[in-house]
Amino acid sequence: MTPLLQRFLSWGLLIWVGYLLMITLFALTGNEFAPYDPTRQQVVARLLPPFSSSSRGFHWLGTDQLGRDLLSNMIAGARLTLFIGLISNAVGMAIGVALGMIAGYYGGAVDRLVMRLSEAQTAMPMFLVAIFFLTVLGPTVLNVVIILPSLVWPAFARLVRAETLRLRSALFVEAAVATGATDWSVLWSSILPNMAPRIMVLAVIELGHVMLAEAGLSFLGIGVQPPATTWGLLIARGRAYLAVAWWLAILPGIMLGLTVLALNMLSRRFAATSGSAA
Amino acid sequence: MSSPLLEIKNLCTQFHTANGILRAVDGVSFVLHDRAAIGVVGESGSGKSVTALSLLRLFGPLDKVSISGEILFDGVDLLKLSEAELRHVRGRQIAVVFQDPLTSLNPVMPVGEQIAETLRFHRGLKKPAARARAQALMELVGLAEPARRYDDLPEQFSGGMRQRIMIAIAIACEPKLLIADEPTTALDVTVQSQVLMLLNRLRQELGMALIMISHDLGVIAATCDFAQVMYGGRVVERGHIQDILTRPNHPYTAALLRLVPRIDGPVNRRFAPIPGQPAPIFGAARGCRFSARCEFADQRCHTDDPPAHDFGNHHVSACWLAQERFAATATIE
Repeated sequence: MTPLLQRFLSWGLLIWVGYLLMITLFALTGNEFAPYDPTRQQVVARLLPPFSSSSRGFHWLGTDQLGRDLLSNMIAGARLTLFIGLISNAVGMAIGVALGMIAGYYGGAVDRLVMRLSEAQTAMPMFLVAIFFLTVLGPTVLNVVIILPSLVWPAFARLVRAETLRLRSALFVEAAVATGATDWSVLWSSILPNMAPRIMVLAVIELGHVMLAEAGLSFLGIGVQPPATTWGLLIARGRAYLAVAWWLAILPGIMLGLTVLALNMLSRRFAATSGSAA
Repeated sequence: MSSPLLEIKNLCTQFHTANGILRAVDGVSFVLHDRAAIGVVGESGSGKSVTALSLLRLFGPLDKVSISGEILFDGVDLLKLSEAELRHVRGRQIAVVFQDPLTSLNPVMPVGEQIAETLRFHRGLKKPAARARAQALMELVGLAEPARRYDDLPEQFSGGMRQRIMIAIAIACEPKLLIADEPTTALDVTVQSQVLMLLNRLRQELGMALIMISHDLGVIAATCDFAQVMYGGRVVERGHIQDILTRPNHPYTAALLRLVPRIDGPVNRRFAPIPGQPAPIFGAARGCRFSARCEFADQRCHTDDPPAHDFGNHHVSACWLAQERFAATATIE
């Protein structure tokens, strides 16, 4: 285990891992690390640039149009951003892996159906569908978590189908069938564990995609609604003040961008390390 | 002897491919008695493996296969069983050892678990009982320190040891019939003989019947008393192994035997390979399958199926010329 960990971690990667750990910590502890109450308004101290002070104290990243501390809001936003991303990604992954394995293993009509569905999904502007869905059903966190998995499952389904096709003809799968294993047990104990590393790599990349999509929906005002907050929502709110207070939109944007970048770095390293083992 | 353990009648296995219907097995019949061993010899593509795979219908879900004939195992026609019923025959009554031990084991599952899984499925053993039984099986096939190695992954074992694990999986439920599909082809010669000795020993101890599939007559001779030679999906000759080795009555068998290196032969002896390749047979074919490569073939061989002729002592050969040309003269010396 230790040599694998050593091979996996390098100093460059450690920075990204540290960043992600910090975000995770923010998400888990909520406002614990926030310097101020993120919802506390103070109109006299509105639109303060980064590194300025108000009667409350020092504002590292400035304040918004109602005098709320931006850093505190970004820390508070980590929770919902990460939560929505993880849940949606997990649901999308479960759907995609299940459909992909069924399609790849049984082939035929099931395979064609699943693949056409995933192609239709990819061809359609799913973002518009999501907008329509959320406009009709209402912009709640639950509805966002329902619609987001539909953006990611095709990627999982295609990867898993291809991997299942490859593994299905592997001799150890044939050997498992020859010992009387059921389809379920072949899929569960022979095929799935052998492609798990690849699924994990994709899952990390797709987590970034889902977080970006959530930010997009919130930016359009049909995602998470205030007083709850996500980074996407912060960007949306800051947009109106872009000319006078650039930091309100840019800084949460950078935080989101770095998170997605860190996830990509992690998955790339993960792919490189697990490649030899898998 | 009472009714045989396995009786195959006119087995035909056809693959429906993009190029047409491929007749991989074309009217094969044979009988295998309880505790007996039969060897199936032939080149790649002769249909010897497909014959064995047909017993348990071990084909990929995308292979379009049609199997006809009868496969009576313990009086039950396996071809009439549903997939779910057949699953209880696989591994429990008929087990298979495959050619390549390096890829026949699940690379991410501890080897002990892979043995225990079969026991849990067929015997309904609980985890601790299956673990204990799996370790006993590892001991039985000659793996040292089974308790310590139970949780090791396949990559931590050598090829010969992995084949022992494959054999442990196969015999876990004490099947009545073991099919060994070229079990030693991927192994070193020294390991090869160890594995063959292991198979012989287990067959005696557990009272299993054996179908040994190989292109190597030496492997067959080491494990079986009866052999059949296949070519182009058909059995061209069968008989006791001594008869096959010393008095081959089919030109194909004779040609195969000429290619076996002999330790008492001349040092720089040249081998004369059989010219040509075995051609896959699509659609309807006429005549002897080997006629295209046979040095003795005449017009009759190309157009009409040769009759099977019994030379006594269960030695049967399907060749037009066998009676006339080979019966008197052909010996290996």
